[in-house]
Amino acid sequence: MGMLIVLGIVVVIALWAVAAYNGLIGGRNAIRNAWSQIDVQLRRRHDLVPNLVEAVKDAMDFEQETLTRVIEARNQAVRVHDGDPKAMAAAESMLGRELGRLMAVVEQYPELKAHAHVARLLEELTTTENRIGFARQYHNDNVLIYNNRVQMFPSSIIAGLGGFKLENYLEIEDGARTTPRVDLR
Amino acid sequence: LPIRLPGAVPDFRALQAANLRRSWLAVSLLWALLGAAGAGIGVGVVLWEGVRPPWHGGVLGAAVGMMLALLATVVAFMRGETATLAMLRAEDPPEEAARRIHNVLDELTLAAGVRRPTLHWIDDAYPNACAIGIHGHPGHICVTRGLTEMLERDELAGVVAHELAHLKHEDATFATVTATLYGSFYFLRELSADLIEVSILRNVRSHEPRTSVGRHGKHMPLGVFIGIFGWIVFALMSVVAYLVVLSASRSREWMADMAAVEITRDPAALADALEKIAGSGRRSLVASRAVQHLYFVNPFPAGASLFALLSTHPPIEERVRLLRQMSGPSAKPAGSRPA
Repeated sequence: MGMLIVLGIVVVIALWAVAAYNGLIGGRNAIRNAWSQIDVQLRRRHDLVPNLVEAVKDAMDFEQETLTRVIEARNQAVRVHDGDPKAMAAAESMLGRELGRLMAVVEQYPELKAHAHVARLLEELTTTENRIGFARQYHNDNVLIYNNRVQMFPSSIIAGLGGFKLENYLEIEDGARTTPRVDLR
Repeated sequence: LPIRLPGAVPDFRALQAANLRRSWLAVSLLWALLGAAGAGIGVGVVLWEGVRPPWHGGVLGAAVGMMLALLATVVAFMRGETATLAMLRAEDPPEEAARRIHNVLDELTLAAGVRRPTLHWIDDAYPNACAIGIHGHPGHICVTRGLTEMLERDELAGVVAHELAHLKHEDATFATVTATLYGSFYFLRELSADLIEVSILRNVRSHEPRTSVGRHGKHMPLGVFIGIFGWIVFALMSVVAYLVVLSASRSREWMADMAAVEITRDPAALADALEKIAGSGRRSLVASRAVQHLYFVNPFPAGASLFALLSTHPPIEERVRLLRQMSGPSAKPAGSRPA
């Protein structure tokens, strides 16, 4: 009888350990998946910027400096894209800020905004900025859940044995994106 | 995920479990109603003929009713999405309006981490939206023309996120099944009306009518009797079914609002959207009572307070109040709103 109770306890612990381990793996995979979404959206923004600049440059003769800065920020972001995440985040934040400035300038040219091609590119830019923001939000939510599992007892035991490390939050500033008005985190 | 929400909001898991229990109860009640309707008609017919004992008719009628309910449920799972979309007169969105709303849906799909549902369009001036889906499918989201015309981008995002939440929390499965079951009451009532018409026409045309003589010596075609009796039964039953559907529908709306905020982090935009819709003064031209519980806001605005009690949705003012409470005065810095 005593043997059975011990055996029962061992089985329960083993089942819990498997579940906790799978939970950690699932969490880490969710973060990787979310990261790849961010990656896709950042590349989309890189591709979009030259088209946008090309479309507005003729109508914005005296704003050449703004355009040059956007192009430079974009090229810098492309250069560091596959490198250090910190540098990447910094370059992307810079690009977001410059694009936000460009959007503000474009706002002052109603005839430009009315142009169908430009309007389409601006919609593309808006949605790309939103996608980056939402993909980052989803990524960081998943990082929070995963990091809690890694650090909180008792799943921290499994995390320690399995060599699960804390994941980093992605800190890219919102540029032209609608600023969210509440932070649920 | 520790979500800090002010006020009486929400433990999603507990709410979801409660909703699931309510869903099963509602579907079982609808089944029982169809069975009872069948039994009622069966007893009525047998009494009218006065030949066999009434319980024969009752049992047979109940069996037929339950079979119909089973059939409707199976149909709902297999063809419910298509059938409901047809009921809503959903079509592909037109090119010029589509880009923005497609983009909004793509963005929110990323935020919610779900598979992308199909987007549909309803040519109705009333600003509204709805979600249709069966467990295991990515589902469908419909928006009306009025919605895309009236709302700003972030408000539109709030509404679409609300619908996405319905899909994510399986509300849409329940709504689609009940819409089909509830729709079958309508169908049977209309069928009864047709039966009356056909029976009378036949009786007029042929000189030797197929009349059944009741035990009281009444002369009336059996078809007319079944038609009238059936119409009354199904009309009454659809009222009861309506109460059952609404009992399970309201709490889902609260929850979908909360879950939408979890996706967009922007309760103010959703509150703005609700206020705009409430103040639009437009009326729906295509919505039907059978599908009203699917919508973002009830397309039949309640006039008297009695009807407010019987609405499928919580009052818009209440929804707005809770959302405003979540956003709070400090959460909306000046100039954060895009032009």
